[in-house]
Amino acid sequence: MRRQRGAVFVYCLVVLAALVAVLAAVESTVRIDVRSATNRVQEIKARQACLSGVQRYIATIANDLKGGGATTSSGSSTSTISTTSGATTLQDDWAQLGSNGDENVIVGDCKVRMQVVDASSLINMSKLTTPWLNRLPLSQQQIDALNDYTTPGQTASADGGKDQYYNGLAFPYKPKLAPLDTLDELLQVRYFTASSIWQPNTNIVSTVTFAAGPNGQQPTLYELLTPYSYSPNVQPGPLGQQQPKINLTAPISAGTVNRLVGLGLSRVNVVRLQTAPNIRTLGAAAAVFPSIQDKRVILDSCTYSGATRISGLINLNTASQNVLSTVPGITPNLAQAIVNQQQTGFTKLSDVLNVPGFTGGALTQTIDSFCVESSTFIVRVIGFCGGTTVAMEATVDIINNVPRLTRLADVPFTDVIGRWNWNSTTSTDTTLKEAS
Amino acid sequence: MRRNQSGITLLEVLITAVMTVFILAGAVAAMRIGIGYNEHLRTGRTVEENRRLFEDKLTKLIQHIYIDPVNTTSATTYFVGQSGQGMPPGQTIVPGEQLIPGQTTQAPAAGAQVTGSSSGGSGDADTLMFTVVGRPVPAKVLAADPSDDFETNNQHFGPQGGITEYAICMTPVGDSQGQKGVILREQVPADEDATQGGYESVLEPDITKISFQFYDGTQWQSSWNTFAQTTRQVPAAIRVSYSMPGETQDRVFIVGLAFTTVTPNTPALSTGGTS
Repeated sequence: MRRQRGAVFVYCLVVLAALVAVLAAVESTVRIDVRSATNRVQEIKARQACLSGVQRYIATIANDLKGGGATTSSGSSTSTISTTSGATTLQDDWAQLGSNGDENVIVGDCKVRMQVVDASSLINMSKLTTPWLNRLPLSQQQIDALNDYTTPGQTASADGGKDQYYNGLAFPYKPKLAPLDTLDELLQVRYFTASSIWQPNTNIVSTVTFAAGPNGQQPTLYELLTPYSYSPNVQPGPLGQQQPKINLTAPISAGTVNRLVGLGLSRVNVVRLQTAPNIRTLGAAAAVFPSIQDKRVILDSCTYSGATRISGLINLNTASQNVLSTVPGITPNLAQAIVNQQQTGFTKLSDVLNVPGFTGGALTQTIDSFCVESSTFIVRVIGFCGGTTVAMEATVDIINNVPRLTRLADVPFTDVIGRWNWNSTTSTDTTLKEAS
Repeated sequence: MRRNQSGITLLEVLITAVMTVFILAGAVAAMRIGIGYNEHLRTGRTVEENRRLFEDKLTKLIQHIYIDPVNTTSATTYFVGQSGQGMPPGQTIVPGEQLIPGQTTQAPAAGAQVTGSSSGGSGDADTLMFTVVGRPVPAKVLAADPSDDFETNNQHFGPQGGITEYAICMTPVGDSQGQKGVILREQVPADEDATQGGYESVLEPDITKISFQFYDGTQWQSSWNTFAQTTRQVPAAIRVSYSMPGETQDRVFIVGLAFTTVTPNTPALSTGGTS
């Protein structure tokens, strides 16, 4: 009898255990549901936080372009937006927004860190001539292949490749025969892989000695190149209020002569410029004039492009020594001298004449590669929400004095903070509050 | 007396047996209900998860739509949403990772107004064709063996990076082998032909209808075509409607475009569409 009563009790235990097992399974399913939904919401919020960081930058630049110069308050911090200096030096407010990733901007339960990088501080891929490519950390095979992929014609270099090569791939396609639109487009070019773009090419001996980064490695192509950069082709002045330069591509008219004379050039020298029809660059034009003062007029007021802005010039104010060192004609000492001058800034192109050694052949050969203002900026931004992190690079382009978001790229790395050389922790917290 | 005390009566045995049967029956029924409910939850979760993945993928693609802001005459970048894209009807696709070429035998000219099958029927666009930059390079490509050369990577992953061309519709360009659903055509690199090329896959097999509307700053439009615009602009937002089996109402979500210059204060100058 005792054994049989015990049997009923055991039945009950078994039944209860089964019911508990079913409930546990259901609870597990629900918990996964909740976690999945939470992760999704956190990712959406982190992405929105990133976009809000980009919009904050666009609003700052837009205010600057309007000449507002207003003091803006954002939560606990206050920043004054410059209206007179223009986007010229790394000390300007636009460049300091986000404190190079050192500021935590808190938006609700999300956080944003951001850094503004001048796109003109990097080498524009569309401007890479063979001498310039030779100074980058690239193999001869990569140089040939890149030239073949981006230039018209069907005759392949010894180590390159045209239609015949790319049509023979497992996943065939046609070579672009035009400049690349994005950095990761290099993955479509023969001899390029992900590691050759985003990792240091340590097995390649470049003709340029690069300064090692914080991690002791030479720069990657990702740190040197950009597919898209523009600078305004206007005379120096407050951002958004600059006057057009004198275009010397057309025959020099009487009005242009008078304008040049008004700027301080003698009529004799202007005639020399007129009678030198083969001059097609600022460097060559500046070389016509022995006087430093005349060179300054040419560099600051003249152009050989009719466009309102020029693609691919390197900003003397923001370029790193590594980028400057790759420009054909720039020696390591000259690159260092330019970097030293960046502390005081280049407000006009002729300020380059203040750099020791920037004369003669170096001036003639390289000045057409440089500018002192930019109109394209890369906003690096990381959004944090819960345990989710989203990183983006947005390209903001100032077209007709209006800042526009023109590109948005998801950053594929999990170690972006290290790649962007940010501190692992921030020193400032700024809480954005809803406008009342 | 002693035998009576140590044994049990027939009645006690029967009562015990009946109680056991009832308890077991109840327990089994409860378990079956519980397991069924769990299965139902799991199925529902899978459907919802697929729906979320579909919406998230579409949202991310749309957020990265790219029109060259400088070279305004280039056909390399575009945004087209229209009804009846002109793809050969009655073809479906291999789902998942298995890709097939999205190539027709006769290629319509880029930007041409093409007529053909339409799964929408409401007049809204049922086909979206656009170019994208900035989608992240897949982790598997970044994690590839550094000793693998370019050809090996091409064989494993196909071409990567650059401007990518996408088309979303219900009718594929290529032979689809009886599979149905929302089709995603992807072409790397983009080739200025909005109507074909690249590889197709099923983005979401359960969806029976999809349509798109485009916000021009003042109202929702049923088509959009940057090829036909004098000033190329993308809409401020896209409203996506889709139908799932067994549901009486369409599901709808709206995606704002990051690159747009269209706002309520500065509406689109033209949609380039037919309405």
